[in-house]
Amino acid sequence: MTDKVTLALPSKGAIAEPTYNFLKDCSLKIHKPNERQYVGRIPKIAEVEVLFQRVKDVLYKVSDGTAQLGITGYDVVKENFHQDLLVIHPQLGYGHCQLVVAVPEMWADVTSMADVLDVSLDFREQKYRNIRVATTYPNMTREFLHQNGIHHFTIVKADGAIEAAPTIGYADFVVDLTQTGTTLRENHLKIIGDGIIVDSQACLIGNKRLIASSKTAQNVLRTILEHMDAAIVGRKYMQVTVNICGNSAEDIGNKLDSHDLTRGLEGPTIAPIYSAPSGSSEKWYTATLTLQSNTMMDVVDYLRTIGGTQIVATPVHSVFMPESETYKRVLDALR
Amino acid sequence: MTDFQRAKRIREISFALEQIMTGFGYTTLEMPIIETAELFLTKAGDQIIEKLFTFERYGRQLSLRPEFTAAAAYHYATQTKETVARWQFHGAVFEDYTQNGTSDYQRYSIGAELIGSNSIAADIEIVLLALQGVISQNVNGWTLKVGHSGVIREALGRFNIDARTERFILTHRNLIQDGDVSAFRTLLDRYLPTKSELSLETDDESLTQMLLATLGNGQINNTMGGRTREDIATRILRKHKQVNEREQIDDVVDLITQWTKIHGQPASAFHELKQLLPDSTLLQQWENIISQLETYGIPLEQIEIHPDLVRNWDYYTGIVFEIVDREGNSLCGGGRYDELIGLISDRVSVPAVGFAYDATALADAIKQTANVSQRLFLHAQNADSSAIWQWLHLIRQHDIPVTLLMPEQNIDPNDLQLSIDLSGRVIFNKNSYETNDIEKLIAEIRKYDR
Repeated sequence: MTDKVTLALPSKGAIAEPTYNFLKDCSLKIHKPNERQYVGRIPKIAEVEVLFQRVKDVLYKVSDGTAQLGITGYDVVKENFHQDLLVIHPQLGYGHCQLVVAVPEMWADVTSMADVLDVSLDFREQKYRNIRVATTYPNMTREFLHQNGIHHFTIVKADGAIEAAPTIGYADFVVDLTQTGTTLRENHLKIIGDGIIVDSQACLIGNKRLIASSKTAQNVLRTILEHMDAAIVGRKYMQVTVNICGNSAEDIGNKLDSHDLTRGLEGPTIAPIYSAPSGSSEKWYTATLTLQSNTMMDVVDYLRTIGGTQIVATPVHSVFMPESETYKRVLDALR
Repeated sequence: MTDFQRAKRIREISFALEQIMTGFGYTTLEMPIIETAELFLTKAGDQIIEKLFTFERYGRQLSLRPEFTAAAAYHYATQTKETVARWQFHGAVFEDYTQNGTSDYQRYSIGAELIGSNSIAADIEIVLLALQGVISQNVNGWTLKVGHSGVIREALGRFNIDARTERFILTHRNLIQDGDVSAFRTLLDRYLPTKSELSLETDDESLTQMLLATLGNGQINNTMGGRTREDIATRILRKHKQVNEREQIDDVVDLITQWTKIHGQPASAFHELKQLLPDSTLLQQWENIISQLETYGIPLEQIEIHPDLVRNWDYYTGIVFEIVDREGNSLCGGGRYDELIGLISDRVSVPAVGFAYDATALADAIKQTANVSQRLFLHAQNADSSAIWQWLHLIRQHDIPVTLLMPEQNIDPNDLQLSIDLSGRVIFNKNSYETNDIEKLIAEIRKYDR
């Protein structure tokens, strides 16, 4: 019987759907028999059993060894770090948000954490009580406030509607997750400039102990990471096909290779184009390159200067490098 | 010393110190082992949370007590009708003292608090009481270190800087002390406003009115996040004033630099302090306290003045002291904390001064020459003999502690031993005793000062 490797994934919340889409983009499509079931599988990797849990429970299940691997928010991991946890890939590139300190807009005098420190002392000296901060992230909040010299405060733990706490009156300011800041603004709160506690996005985590002790888990992890790395690298590239008129394939190759923008990953592939006799002595070639997508307009301009035309750019799905850098790092961390 | 020997010694110390404190008029109070965590966090600040042993019960965060003072202050504020309270405390306190991989979670603390008096007599009494305990335990080479948090605050007051700026400077004075003035200034730049968006010519009253009007525009409430518009206006005004404080920072840094360098015997230290802070009334008070200690018989050569002794500027408000042993281990620490009761209750500030011994450190510091007590054992080789139980009863009736020696038990060669012969007589020091010779036997045992 083959060992099973359990991958815990978020069942609901902001990163659930993006996680399924991300895995699909990595050619690791999830099969979930029906919406109400908590288990599923990845048909491409037979050893993997998928367990659907809330984002916090994903972390707990990996920490306690119920699951060997999981995808959850980096904010959740930072808040509840466990010694058996290994952050395998901290930036999967989706589910971006920030944990921030936000104070009432009315606090016109508060624009920095130094101001929050000063106001916390005002509370102690003038109101004879601690300043209160509402949050679902007490550990990171505490650590961040201490780092900023704020030691006199009371944490009000809450599970939802944190933004309303200062208006309702059960806290004076908040530490909350935000993506765009809209909800905070709608609740008359403003983010403190140097009050960003963590930049978070979805991340892949694993149980160090279980991965280190299981060859199957390591093989599954390698397969998953090969696909993830390839997909994440692939996002940065476009495949470009261009028709170029030139004297020879070598001449065109030199022109493309001599420019940083068009050198591609390992240089272009060049092939002659078959054309019906038209009396012209021009020779046409087609060149195929894998190029960084963020330079595409500069690439197009350069290709035109060397006689390129009919440029076709298509997104790259996956770029498999010589080895998965992330998997290599994991093996180093487990040693 | 094994843990059991230390525990025994601590119990003896606790008993002895209780007698001394009772002699000074201090009543023993039993304080709860479990309290709300907020009580301790309010006193010491949230930075101690990682050292507290906390847990939740019915939504409340509770903690094992890490010390006695906060609970004593709360007890005074909520339950006592005395104007001046003198209390002593003995018991285990719980804190995570993990250091260099070794963990220590429980210590024995003995403390005293004098609450309700602002007199320097209270300061003197508390320091004397702390010293008396150390002296009574024959600790060799102790030193009393004394600082004062009020004196430097009084001195900084002359620069007319904001109380908050003053706190900031005192909290970060170690950077100045270490000669890293540029790091201090970098921190200060983060804290002090560098420019004001307000007209410097505007007087305070009209500025406040302007601010109130501005802050009122478009706001739905007068209070948000526990602060009123007036709170905010007042603070903007304060920040506005702080802009001007930068001009005086050089002089303040210079004063702190000199102040932190002063320490030593009372005569020389006070001489230097007087030159630095002429006309300081609190400095005179401080010197007076030391002078009264000398009157009481405390040798001046065992007192050191350390103006920079204060660690927690949010807590101590006056005299601060520490007693250390020859190796510099802290045996006891305390000071005046006039603001605590106001913070943890609805009462206005109540003057208070107190200290606590670290009984574990005290037990380790006590001279090792103390006699090892001799125990008295009765051999149980004939355990079925009724004579054993008869003799044990007879001896114990005379308030002599005696232990039945089990066949498997080893004892110290110094311990005293009784045995029983086949006729049921007790043998002690090669003499045998009948039951009707009990008085003679007791008299013989009592010759040993155990």
